[in-house]
Amino acid sequence: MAETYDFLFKFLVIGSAGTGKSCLLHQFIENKFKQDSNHTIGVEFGSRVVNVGGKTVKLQIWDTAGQERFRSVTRSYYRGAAGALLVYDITSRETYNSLAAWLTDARTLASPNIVVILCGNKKDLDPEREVTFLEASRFAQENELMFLETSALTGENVEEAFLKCARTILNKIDSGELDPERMGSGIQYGDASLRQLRQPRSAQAVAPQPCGC
Amino acid sequence: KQESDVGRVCQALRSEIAEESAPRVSGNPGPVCGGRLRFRPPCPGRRGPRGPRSRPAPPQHRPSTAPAPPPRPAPSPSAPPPSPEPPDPSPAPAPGPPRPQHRPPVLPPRPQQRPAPRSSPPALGPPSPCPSPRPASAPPPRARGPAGRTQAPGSREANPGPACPSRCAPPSRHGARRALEGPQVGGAGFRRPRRLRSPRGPPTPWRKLRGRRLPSRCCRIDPYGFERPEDFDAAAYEEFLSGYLVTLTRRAVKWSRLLQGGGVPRGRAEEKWQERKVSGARGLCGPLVQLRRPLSSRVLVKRYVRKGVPLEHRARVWMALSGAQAQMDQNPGYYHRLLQGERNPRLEDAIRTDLNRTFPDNVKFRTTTEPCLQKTLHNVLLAYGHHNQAVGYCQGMNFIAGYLILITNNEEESFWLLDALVGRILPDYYTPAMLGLKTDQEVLGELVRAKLPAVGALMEQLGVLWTLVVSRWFICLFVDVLPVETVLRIWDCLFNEGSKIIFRVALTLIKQHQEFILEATSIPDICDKFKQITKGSFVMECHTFMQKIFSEPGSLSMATVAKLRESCRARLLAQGHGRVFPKREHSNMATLFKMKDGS
Repeated sequence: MAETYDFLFKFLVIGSAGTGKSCLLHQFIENKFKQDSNHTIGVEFGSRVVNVGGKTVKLQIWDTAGQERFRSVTRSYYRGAAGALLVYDITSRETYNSLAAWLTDARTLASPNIVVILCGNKKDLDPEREVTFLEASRFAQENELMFLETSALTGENVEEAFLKCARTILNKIDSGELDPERMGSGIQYGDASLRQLRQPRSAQAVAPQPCGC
Repeated sequence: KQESDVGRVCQALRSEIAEESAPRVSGNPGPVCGGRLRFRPPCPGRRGPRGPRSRPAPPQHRPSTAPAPPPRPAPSPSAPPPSPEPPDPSPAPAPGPPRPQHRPPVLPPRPQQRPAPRSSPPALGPPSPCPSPRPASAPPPRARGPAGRTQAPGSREANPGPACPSRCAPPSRHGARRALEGPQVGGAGFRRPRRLRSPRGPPTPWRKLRGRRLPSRCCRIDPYGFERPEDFDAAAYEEFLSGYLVTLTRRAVKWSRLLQGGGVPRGRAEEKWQERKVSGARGLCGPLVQLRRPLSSRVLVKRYVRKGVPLEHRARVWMALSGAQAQMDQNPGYYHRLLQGERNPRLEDAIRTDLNRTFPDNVKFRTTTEPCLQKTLHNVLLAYGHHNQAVGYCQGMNFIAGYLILITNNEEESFWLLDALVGRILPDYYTPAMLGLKTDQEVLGELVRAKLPAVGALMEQLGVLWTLVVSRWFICLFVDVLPVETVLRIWDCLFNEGSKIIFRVALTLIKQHQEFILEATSIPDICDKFKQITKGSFVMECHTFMQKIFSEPGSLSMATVAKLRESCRARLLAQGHGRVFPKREHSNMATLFKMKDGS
């Protein structure tokens, strides 16, 4: 049953209520649109193993509740996230306006190095658009975010968003910018990489076990 | 105070019950039972398609005596024009006179259903698993109780409306006639001798139902309008239900008696005791009397409520026990004024976002259904947001209000019950800081550490916060977590005994599955396990489950809970959890853009 993978990344999906966070996650994991979706209370989980640049990566995705007052609850789960999808709804300026606050939360509570991709969701509702692509991409640039417009309904760019985020993290690991062994990096070695490294390292990289032999 | 509440509910209900007919009181489980949908006594109208009239119907399928198809009730002037069919296929509803409409119908007549072709029903056979839909031409009669309360018998009791849309043909004129004549009339049209009419006497519902195969197509939707999940175990449910129906019947009889005054705690016995006490008749007989002293109302009602409130009394009992009725009576018109008052666009937006996301699996909440309960839900939540501005709207309240609407069928009552829960029973759960909620989650953690140390240790070892696994339990009060019937039984106690019940349920769930939980090796693992323990037969068998919540966790006094709450609250406040996050959307962006514009 144990899946083999090289790395395990902890991802967050954050953003205001009703932007389609759970639907994005569902689309990514199940490859279909969740028609009868409940709103999220607290936190839900999802995971999927993907192949990025020749490496297998398990994404452990934490889907959070969007309503303002749940932030005080969901903040507790940010710790140790390696990547985040910051979601807003292109048909709702209000959700766009709160992006800065979500971003601050992610950077302060998860890690300053967290890799964030901005997702303008509900791309299929283009006629009702309230936030232009240009405006959002300017915001992304200024805040050093990646940016994509996605549609959980059609599935457009959904997979790309997650993969892009994972790829960036891998690149940062390769370049040494991110150290998987640092506590709270949100990255763990999987069994596959352990075998390759032939080091008896604990699968739980976070666990304070320097050497198990 | 509690006693006066109890007195009030008893009084209000007694008068209403008195008006209702004997068959219901005599323990027909039909209206009470969650599964009545499928185990309803045979639908007279359904007999039609089965064959020519002369064909004698199997006697056991026909309650030939009392409850059987009531003779046409004399239509009152204000009642809807009598339809050719019996107003409801179930023998349960009282054949009492239709009562005039009183309050605005929250649940207007159930969705119309297309009559199916005649050829489809035969497979159903009696006892019909799906009641014939109420014909569109006969809206459910609304009723006015003598206490000024109204009741929609059709909707509050048997509510199976949309269960099998288009499957069951409404009883035809002939069917109805046949139903009326039934097997009392022999093939040649002669009246049968009484002893032949029902060889086995009036069949007790559960006897008829045992061992019958469940036509799976009719359990797609439960009596509350929820679609059964994909993995619904119909066989196990049927098994459970066949036993539970007996319980339900017994409880229905007992409750009716209680509310009618038969065994009413504040009846003569208690008064006599009070008199004696007052008149100073102590001395010798004092201790003796003390021994014989009847249970106080509070204790008796607690026992009754723990064993389950029948569905037909549930709304009124909740209203009385929670004090919502008193509030409603003291503030006439308040609810409607709230709705007409000034609008709060932010609040409305937040509510609207969640309307489509409340019970998408319930046919009554779908926009395609007419009427759709979303509007009702919107009103209740909006009024509450105006009423309690410190809370406004918090996700989770939509689920609670949704259940209240399904049970009460009344906007205003749902509002006052919501107020009882959010304002009094669960204080500070839904306010922006959610301090009450966080406190109670910590309290649960403490209780688990004390009562189930192994689980407590595992949670600590894995670094799992309790809020991660039990938020949903506390915020939604188990709605969408446990099966509907179980949730309602929990709420019965919640309205009577307060938020302590949530701990009991949570502790029972954890204790029962302790071994299973201890297998977890990671955080996602534990989350998954906590989800799984809310499924399966243990929680479906609500009666046993409710017995367990009062035995398994052991003693749990209010004093313990209060003490734990105090210490947990202090700890959380010290950690800065009392802080409310400022509404920052606009201000933050404004400063951000100002900075950019300036630079």
